[in-house]
Amino acid sequence: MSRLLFSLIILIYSTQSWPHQLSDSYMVLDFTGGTIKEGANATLKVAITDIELAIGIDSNKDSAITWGEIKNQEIAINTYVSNRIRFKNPNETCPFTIGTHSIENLSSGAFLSIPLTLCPNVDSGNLELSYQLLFDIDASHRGIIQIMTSSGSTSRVLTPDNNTLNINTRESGIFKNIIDFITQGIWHIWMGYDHLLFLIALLIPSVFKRDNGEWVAHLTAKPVAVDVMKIVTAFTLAHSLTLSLATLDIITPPAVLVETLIALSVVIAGINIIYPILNNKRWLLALMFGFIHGFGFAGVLGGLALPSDGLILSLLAFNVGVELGQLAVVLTLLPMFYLSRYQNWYQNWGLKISAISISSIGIALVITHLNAYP
Amino acid sequence: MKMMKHLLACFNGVRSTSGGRGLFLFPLLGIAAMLISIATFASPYVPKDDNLIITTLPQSVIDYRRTLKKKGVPKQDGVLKLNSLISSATQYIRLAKEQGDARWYGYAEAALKPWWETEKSPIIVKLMKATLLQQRHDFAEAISELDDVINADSRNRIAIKMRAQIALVQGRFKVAEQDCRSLLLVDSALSSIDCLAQVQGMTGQAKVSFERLTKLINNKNLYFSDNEIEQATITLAVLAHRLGYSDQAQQYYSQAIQQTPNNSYLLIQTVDFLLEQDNAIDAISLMTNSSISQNNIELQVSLMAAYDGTSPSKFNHQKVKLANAFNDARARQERFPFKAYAKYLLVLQTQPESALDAAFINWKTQKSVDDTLLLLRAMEASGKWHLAGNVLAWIDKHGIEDIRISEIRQRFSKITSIASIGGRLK
Repeated sequence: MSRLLFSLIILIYSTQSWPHQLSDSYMVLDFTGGTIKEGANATLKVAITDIELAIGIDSNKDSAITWGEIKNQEIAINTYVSNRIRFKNPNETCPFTIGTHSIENLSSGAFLSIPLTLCPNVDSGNLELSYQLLFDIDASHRGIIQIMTSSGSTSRVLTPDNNTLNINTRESGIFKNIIDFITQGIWHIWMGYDHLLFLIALLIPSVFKRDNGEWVAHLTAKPVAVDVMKIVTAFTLAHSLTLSLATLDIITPPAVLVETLIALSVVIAGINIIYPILNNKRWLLALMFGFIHGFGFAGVLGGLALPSDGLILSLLAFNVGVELGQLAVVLTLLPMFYLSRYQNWYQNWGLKISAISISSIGIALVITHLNAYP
Repeated sequence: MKMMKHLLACFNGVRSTSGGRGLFLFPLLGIAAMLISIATFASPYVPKDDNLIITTLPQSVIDYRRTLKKKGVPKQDGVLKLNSLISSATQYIRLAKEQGDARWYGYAEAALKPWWETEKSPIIVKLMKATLLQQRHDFAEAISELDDVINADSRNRIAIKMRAQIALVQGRFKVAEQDCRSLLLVDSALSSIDCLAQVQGMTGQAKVSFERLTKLINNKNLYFSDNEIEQATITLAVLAHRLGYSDQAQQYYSQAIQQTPNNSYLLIQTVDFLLEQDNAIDAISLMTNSSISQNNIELQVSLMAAYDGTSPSKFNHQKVKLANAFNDARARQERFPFKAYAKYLLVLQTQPESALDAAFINWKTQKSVDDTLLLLRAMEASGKWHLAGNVLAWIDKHGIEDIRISEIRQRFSKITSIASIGGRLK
């Protein structure tokens, strides 16, 4: 024992193991027909090596597993699977039958492919899968479950501590896809501080009008709302157009150029707070730079592995997310700006400090992005 | 969040731009990886011949059957059963180490399940838990287990040495040195000096450490165990390698390989040395003759590097094999081998920026000379020298010594001085 403990020390240099040797099983649940596809149902794929370790199929102990040896253990294999995999409808179990075994050679080795036919009344909208293969002997085993629906596929990884999966094809299908992309859009506008700073810089002067070279507070809310509507609409139209063009691969400018121009737009929008340009038509700034920001959004969307069969829907959902995120920012900040518009500190210092801070961050971003040029 | 950005960029094969946007990408990327994996599947078939060999069991499974299965599943109750589980876990860890097959770490963890969530467990179990946790890079949890052991038994040399090694890998050199120094009171001279040499050899005293350890190991008046000599020989080989003493490095590496042929770390270092010496033939021979290398993804990447320029067909085969392995690793959505992936992308030479992202993620948790060197090489390949500031400052702060790092720094200095002259001319 002590010899082993001593030798544990050299394991500290934890080198990285070959992923193929770690134990993974795969289960494909095919709901492409709306419910479990008749005849195809689910397929479980378990590595032959894992079956040997869990059940023992190499009867002559020669280390070579033959098809005959696997066939001889068919009942034991099916019993093992039946005892350790459970499907459950909301109020009842959903038993399954096991079909004819076959062999499938995957990149990580030879697997036994085991077809499962689920109960006829399977509720694909609310199905629970309990998975317990191999966990008792191998804590690093993972069950990788692929759920295929007409709108695409999702995968989940089951572990010893997380071995139950609630399957809802209605949610995991098109609806979930839309929610995912809307959430991603919201997240992006909130976390992409360059977009946010640009928008805030344009909103800050909205509660004022330019009068004889001075900022004068609007007396009523209506002109403020109109001004903000113009800015938001222009920004939305512009970025939606370029986001679509880039996502559909019609125009794809270099990312580093886009990011630099976005940073530049922050600088200009910041300066615009004190020294209005374009005759204080900020909606024009929103429109011009909105085109550039759209390409920036597309960079993120490009990394999201858009499903080819739901491309337009995903694009729309992402855009809706961006608009919702944008709207939340406007609805949060605008009342604050509006209520503060008569305050001396806001007119005297608030505008200047905002302008300097936003422009400085913009300049820093420009420098950072310029450094990224090859 | 920045780490997630790098991680996602790495998965995407592109460099991320601005903002933290990635949290939702993980499931999508998992699916993509799985779809790619599934795309590589051949169609299922029902064999017609019962004698058809479907697969041959890996050597480690054969060894497992020989050494463990005869013991059977522990059937006793209470203490006897627990002792039996500990014994099984011990054997699994030994198997994992000897064969380099990570599967058995999972088996060891399953055997230790009765103690996994409890704080009060025997010292041997805590040491094994620490081993398993550090093996999957859960360093903080591993250290917590070791702290418990050392609090209960301040003279536990195994725990102290493990903690020192983890701190060393993490780049917490002061902590590592402190633990190595405390070993002087509880461990043998060679083992303690070896530990110190590993730390000081990284932090500005490589030459002195190398000489001190050489002197000690050659002292005929002292007795050292085989294990201590084996470990010290590995340290000497690595130090000589870093110092640029090629002849001595070659001598110590070959001596160490003879003593401990089944040591993944040693094999990786030796293969790196051989490849740096343009000796791809010996590197290939070493790797193809080792069962350990079949089980180690980093060595498989090195094998691909060795085939590059020597055997195009084997290089391409290895490239596909590794691409599949990385896809499988992605499908698991955990413990992605970033270091090996960065090396792989660097060998391919087509995606240096993604290699840099992966190397950065790796460097955040592991800061050995190898990890730092890999990061600098990725920076050089991608031309992203402007990102080197923090890394170079860290190297200077700790006095990291390595001839290969120095060479890269020289090239970096040349580039920056040319750029600054260019800037002045403008």
